[in-house]
Amino acid sequence: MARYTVFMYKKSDAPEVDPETLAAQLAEHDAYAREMLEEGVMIFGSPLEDHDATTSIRADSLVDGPFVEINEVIVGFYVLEVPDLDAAVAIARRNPILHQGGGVEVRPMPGDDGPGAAEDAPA
Amino acid sequence: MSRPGTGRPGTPGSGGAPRGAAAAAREAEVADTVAAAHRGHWGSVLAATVGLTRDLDLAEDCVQEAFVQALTAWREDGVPGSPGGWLATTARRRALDALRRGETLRRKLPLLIWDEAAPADEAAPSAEAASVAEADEAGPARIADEERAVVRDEQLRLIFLAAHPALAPEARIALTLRLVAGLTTAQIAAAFLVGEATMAARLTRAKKRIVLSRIPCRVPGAGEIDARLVDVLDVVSVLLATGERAGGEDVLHAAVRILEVLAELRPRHPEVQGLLAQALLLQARAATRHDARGRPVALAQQDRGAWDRGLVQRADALVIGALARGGRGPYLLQGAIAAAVAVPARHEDVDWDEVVALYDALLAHWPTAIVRLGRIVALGEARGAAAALAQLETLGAELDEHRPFHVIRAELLGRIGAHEEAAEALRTALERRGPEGESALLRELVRGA
Repeated sequence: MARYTVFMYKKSDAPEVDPETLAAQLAEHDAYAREMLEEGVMIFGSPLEDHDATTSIRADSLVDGPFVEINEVIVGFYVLEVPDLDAAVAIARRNPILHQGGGVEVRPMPGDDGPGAAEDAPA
Repeated sequence: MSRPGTGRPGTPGSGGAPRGAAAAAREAEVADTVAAAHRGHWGSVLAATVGLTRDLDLAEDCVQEAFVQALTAWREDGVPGSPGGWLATTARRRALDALRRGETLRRKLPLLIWDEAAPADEAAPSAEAASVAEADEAGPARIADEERAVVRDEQLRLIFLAAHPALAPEARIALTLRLVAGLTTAQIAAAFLVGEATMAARLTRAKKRIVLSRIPCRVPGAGEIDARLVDVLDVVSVLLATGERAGGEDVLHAAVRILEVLAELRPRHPEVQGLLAQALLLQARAATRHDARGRPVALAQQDRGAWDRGLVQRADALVIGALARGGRGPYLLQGAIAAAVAVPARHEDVDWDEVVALYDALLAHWPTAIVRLGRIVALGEARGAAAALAQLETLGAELDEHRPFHVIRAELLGRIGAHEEAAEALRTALERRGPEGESALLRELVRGA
């Protein structure tokens, strides 16, 4: 089994949607998360609060807000556990954000067979 | 059977010179056999070995060593009845030794995903659940049979792995030539006109991407195979375009072999048949496309008598069968165009109106400037150079950097007697990038103009 983090992105200048549309969109995300849980492929996932709510820290500073302004911001993420990339992509493709004007990135996480794996890790 | 070492050197009558010549001939013969086995079996031997090592680099090393070992072993013991089987056994034995020697060697990176069972038999995840659901709709018994046939062919796994949509397009082409066709990095670099170091880096990065992302080495399940098949055809199509150049024979052979394997997997897939037809026609004409000095020969001047008629007929039958089954996809249309041009015994007998109509259908799939250029060439044959030139000018802005555009323009201008402009177009063509053999021909034409 392999783990992937799926990052969900939205344009930072995306127009605000009316409350009804927003409720419908969130319902889609809830349903999608439930499906993944039932399929046993999701380990963890969460939406993120607004990009502006970020606290940025460097060695010598602490700043209210993101360090860099970017066009696309992460609005949520999921950690999946599936056999391979094909399975991860098939699940990520169903993410409702794809027809809500956003996009996703699928990023592999090092597994127990990867660099630094323990000698006695199961094959 | 005589064995090396049993003869006593220096014994009177052992006749050093003739025996040396015989040995040299034998050596050359074995080298040829090994080279032929390399072309014919490299991909399947690698596939058989990767299943064991689940590490592409280690498997490639073992296969390479098996071929080196074959040079000596086949000279001493004779060529085995099944060279491919011998090579696979030898490579796998080396792989086992290597795995025993250094477990950590393959631990530097995650192992390749290589499930033993057919995807549909695997437990649960949704992608496969979806493909099973679609398989049920299409008729479970038939799909189950296909799936079993599918998993038996390990080479297919590597074909689909190398053309995986998560890899960058140029990486797919390089990996296909390396993992499926067994071309060396230097050969691949030469075919694509890039430096060897650049190509080596591209291959390394692509292999790393496969293991880090866990791109599975498997034949896609019923639900996704049609889309994935098109990805493979797209790669092979680039190989054909490359194989068309002088010196591209290895690439062309590789493309044909991949298509033959795909045609076994999906014997009635019109797009596979269309592209296979196109590849076979390129092979049929291979000997006449360039002259002895490597200069390209125009289609009208090629010696049709020297074309391989068996290959032409096979390609024609593939196209006719696929069209009869209702295929109208772009690769089949390209195959139909190539067949329409190649089947007649004389250039004058080609039905160019039909070729133009086929190009119109192809444009509905691929409305690109290159396809329009092909249509204009056919139009020039069907309706005359003036009609073709009128349309050609509309492509001038888009194809100005494309050498064939200027070569075609020069040819059409020459046909309507505009020799000054034709010479100017030839000079422009020479300024554009292109194969050296073609440049040599263009220089001669410019001098003669």
